[in-house]
Amino acid sequence: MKTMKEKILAKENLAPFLDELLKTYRVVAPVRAGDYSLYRPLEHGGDICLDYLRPIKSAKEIFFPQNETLFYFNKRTNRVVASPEGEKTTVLFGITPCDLAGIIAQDRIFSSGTFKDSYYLRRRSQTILVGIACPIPGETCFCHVFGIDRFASEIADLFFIPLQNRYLVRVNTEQGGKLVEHLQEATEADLREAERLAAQPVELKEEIMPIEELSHLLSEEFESPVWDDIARKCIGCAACTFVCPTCHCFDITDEIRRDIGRRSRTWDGCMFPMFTLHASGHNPRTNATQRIRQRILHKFAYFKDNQGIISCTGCGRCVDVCPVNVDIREVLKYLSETLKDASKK
Amino acid sequence: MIDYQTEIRKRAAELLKNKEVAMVIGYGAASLPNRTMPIFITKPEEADKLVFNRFCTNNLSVYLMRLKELGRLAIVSKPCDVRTIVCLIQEKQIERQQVHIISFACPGVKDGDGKFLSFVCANCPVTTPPIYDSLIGDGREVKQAEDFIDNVTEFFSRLPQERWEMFKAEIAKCIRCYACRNACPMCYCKECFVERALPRWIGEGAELTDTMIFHIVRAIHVAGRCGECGACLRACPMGVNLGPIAKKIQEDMLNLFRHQAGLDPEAPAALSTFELNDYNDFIK
Repeated sequence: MKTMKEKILAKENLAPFLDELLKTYRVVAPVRAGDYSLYRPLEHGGDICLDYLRPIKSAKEIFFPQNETLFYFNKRTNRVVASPEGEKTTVLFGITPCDLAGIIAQDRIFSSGTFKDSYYLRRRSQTILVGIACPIPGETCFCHVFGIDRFASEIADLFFIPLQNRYLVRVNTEQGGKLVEHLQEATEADLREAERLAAQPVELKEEIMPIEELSHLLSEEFESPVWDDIARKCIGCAACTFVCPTCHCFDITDEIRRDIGRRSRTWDGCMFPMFTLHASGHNPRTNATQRIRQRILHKFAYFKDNQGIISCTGCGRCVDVCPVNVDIREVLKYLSETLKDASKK
Repeated sequence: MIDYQTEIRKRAAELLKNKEVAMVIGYGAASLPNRTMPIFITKPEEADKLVFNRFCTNNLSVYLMRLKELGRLAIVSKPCDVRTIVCLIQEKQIERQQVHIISFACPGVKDGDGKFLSFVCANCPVTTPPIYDSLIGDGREVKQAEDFIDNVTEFFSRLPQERWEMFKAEIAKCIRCYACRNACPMCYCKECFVERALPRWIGEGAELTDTMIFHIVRAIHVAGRCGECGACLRACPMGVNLGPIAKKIQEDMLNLFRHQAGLDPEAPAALSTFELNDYNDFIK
């Protein structure tokens, strides 16, 4: 595809730009919520908050909310009586490269292969993605391990690169192009500044073995005692899975009042003991070791086997929120060291 | 000035060397600044991994139930954490001989960026360990005269309607990850009511009232059993702060039922005893 002309938007014109979008679209963007930001629908363009490295939760809930109604049914007639209505087209603005990578993983689960999820697809197809570059990674970030480009994304319709007092806007799709038609074109100097920014070296400190190699080793080390060491301090909450851009497990429940039932789905967490409890009472994963092994293998081995990519984007959110400092980077480093030694023997 | 960290390491190494305990549960260096993390030491030569500083925030008692099969456990424990061990003993979840408590008079731990004393610590009613096996330092109370953000007084100085709105705003932040529950040593139910499917007690997540019920039930369930360690507050990824309410409930237990949690392992548990002169003005 031929790249379209880059555009320029002055930073001071961002809020008016968003206000203009709000006339036609639902706009979701990072909004301040106390000590952090969250992706939330904007009421006014000025509500956007880009002061934080990234919102505390990932953008996955825009397409796959924590709890959503699938349909209402009548218990007596066993018929569906109502389905939720679609929303108008959404512009998801200010989405970070790690979260865009998360959407690539979610797309594989919900919208490719044999089973397509109509709820996810409806929202996904009605959303225009506007990414934003991440010039300086945070302390817990490690997206470079997964080769994520902090200055471009192939799935974003538009991609904003913050320069001194303006944004360079890269246009990837026609749909995106329509939103910035009226903006002035970028000059050679703007492009050079963006290139300089992207070329700036950042300190990368993670000594994780090449992820492909690790992924291969992992699938052979199901019975390794390392999993016990890793799992010992885990307290089994779902903080890591709920903030994760790629975790996608859910539970389906019915709530019935009189004759009318509501079928909904809700995020579930593989660290909860109840997660794999069968109706028979049998639970194939009875302890923390089995559960944490599942989480790691799912992200770094099974997902790769099934979907062709690793389902971690290195956003570092799980590192930030874990109450007991289960640091996925340390886990991968530890696995790299111990499994490499074990495989040599 | 005594070096707590050196003393703790020394004591841990001795206990392991003499085979008095199978494991020492303590604090180790974390991957992030202003943090420590739980570590589990089984060899005397590994005792040097133990650290002690103002960021030893986790309540390690949460691991006792899970690891008790290993044998006798030594645990580095702040006085508030000791209170939860006492509660576990009172409730017959562990035996007194099961644990070797390494404790000290506590100056309080720091919150977040390390600038402030945690408000939980600033309001701490028990700064010396009620029971212990090894005492580090002289056990004399440490004066807490550091800066902290007093949101307990602030909360209760407001009108009921305002408090209700503040409570709702806190609840709205909750993502139901249950980190608060899982970080709490007193939340040891094998099956929490929120996960019970038959019958289902609360809805799975769309309604604010469902989330509210989880927090209200948990607050009441730990009435008279809460060591006031603040582990639930610190575990929360979303910064839900129901600290003032938790604090108030423990104060009510003291004022109305003369009960302070976790001081005497021989004392009966508050929620499982009844006395004729118990406060009962709520029965009209």
